[in-house]
Amino acid sequence: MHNPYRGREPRAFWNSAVAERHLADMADLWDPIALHPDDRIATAGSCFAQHIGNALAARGAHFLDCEPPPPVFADAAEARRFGYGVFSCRYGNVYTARQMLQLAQEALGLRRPADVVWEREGRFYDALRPAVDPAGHANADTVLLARRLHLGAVRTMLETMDVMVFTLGLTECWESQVDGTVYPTAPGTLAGSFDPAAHAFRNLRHGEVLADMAAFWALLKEVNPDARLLLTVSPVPLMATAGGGHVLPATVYSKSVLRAVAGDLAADHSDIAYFPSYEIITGHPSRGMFFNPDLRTVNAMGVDLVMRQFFAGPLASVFAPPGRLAKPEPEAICEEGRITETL
Amino acid sequence: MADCTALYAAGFRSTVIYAQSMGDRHHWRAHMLPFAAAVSGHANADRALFHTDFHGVHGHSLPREAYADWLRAAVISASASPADLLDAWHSLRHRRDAAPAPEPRQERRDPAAMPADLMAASSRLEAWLARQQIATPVAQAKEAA
Repeated sequence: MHNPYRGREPRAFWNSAVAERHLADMADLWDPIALHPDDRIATAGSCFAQHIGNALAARGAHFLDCEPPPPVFADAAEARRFGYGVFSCRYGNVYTARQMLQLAQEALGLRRPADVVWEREGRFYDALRPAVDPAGHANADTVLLARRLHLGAVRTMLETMDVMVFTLGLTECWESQVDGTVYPTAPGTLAGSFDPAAHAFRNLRHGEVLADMAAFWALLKEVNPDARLLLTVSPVPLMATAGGGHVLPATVYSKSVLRAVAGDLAADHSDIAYFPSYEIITGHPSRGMFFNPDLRTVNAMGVDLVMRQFFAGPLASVFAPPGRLAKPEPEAICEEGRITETL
Repeated sequence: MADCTALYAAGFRSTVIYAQSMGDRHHWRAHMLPFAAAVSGHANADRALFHTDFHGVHGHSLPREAYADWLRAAVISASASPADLLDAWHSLRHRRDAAPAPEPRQERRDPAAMPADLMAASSRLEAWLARQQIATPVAQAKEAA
């Protein structure tokens, strides 16, 4: 009698791979992608993507920074407050697949959003990345100029990267009723003003997220045929839901959709991979120990374990761990966490 | 992962510092009290230090400073004896309480109330952007040529 499970690796079985191991000793959680120190690695997505970018840079990877800070800041920490050096371009958090798709379309000249400038108390903000200018700008023209420069940087990034690390964060978003542009934050939170006639809530479903990611992937491959994509799902729960229900099931719904999309894409494309940081942090074997007391933000221990798993196998020999005197990782910048500031 | 209550009920030699928020009534009732009961009959019961306090949150939350001093005390304490740990913790707490209180958190993002250094950096960035506006048509003309 042939049993199709016979001969499978120990990692295929719950007992040997999980139940009988300490969490820190789990192994072979993923099949690491091939990465060379010269590969230009771009990052985008929700705040958790910053950890992977920072860890790669600390280990000598070629972290692509297509929008470096102009020489006007006192130091790198001040530049980070203005969105420089956080991701490969100064787009702030890209929470949804649709936001990523629309950004790529705009950068490649295929889309022109109708509503780009938001005002707040006499200052002007980029509606599609309102957090990158903490004090806003004196006029709308400066916002548009900064956006034009930003889009040039995004185009360069799309055309020149070798690998993009993209962390899927949310399915819930707010969109313009005029042209379907989705915003990273709800109008009226960081800037702008919520108008029920102009803005609508959307909770993107599996088919929509998959279609958005597929469209983004097709667009990327058009301008950069050799590009590869490494997907992760953010383990950080929703700060709030606008769906009308409880935030816990809303979080599980969102993350389940994103996890399924990432899995589908990785299964269907040889040059798209999935790294299970989401499972490491949120899976019940960790018993929630990798969350801070707010049960939302991920603690340093969780980030460390994720990075140890990321650099498992062949990647460990390519990217040496940073020395003891390495600079500490900067704190992740998460715009979503600010949506309750103005309640 | 071990059931600490059962483990310590069987006897222990280590020193335990148990920090518990009084606002977290579930863990107070379901974790701390059973653990205290489990160690109460042992000869080493005086090596279990229970520190409970309330930090303004009703629920499962403990601010970092609530346990950070205990971690620091464990590092700098002359020994693992409860007396040395308590002395080390007390001196750390006294030093912290004597320090000036931190500035209250800025709740609203009123640009007028932005820190001066942030506004200054924003102004410098705007000036830099204005120079790009002037430079861009020249660069484009060069590209066209």
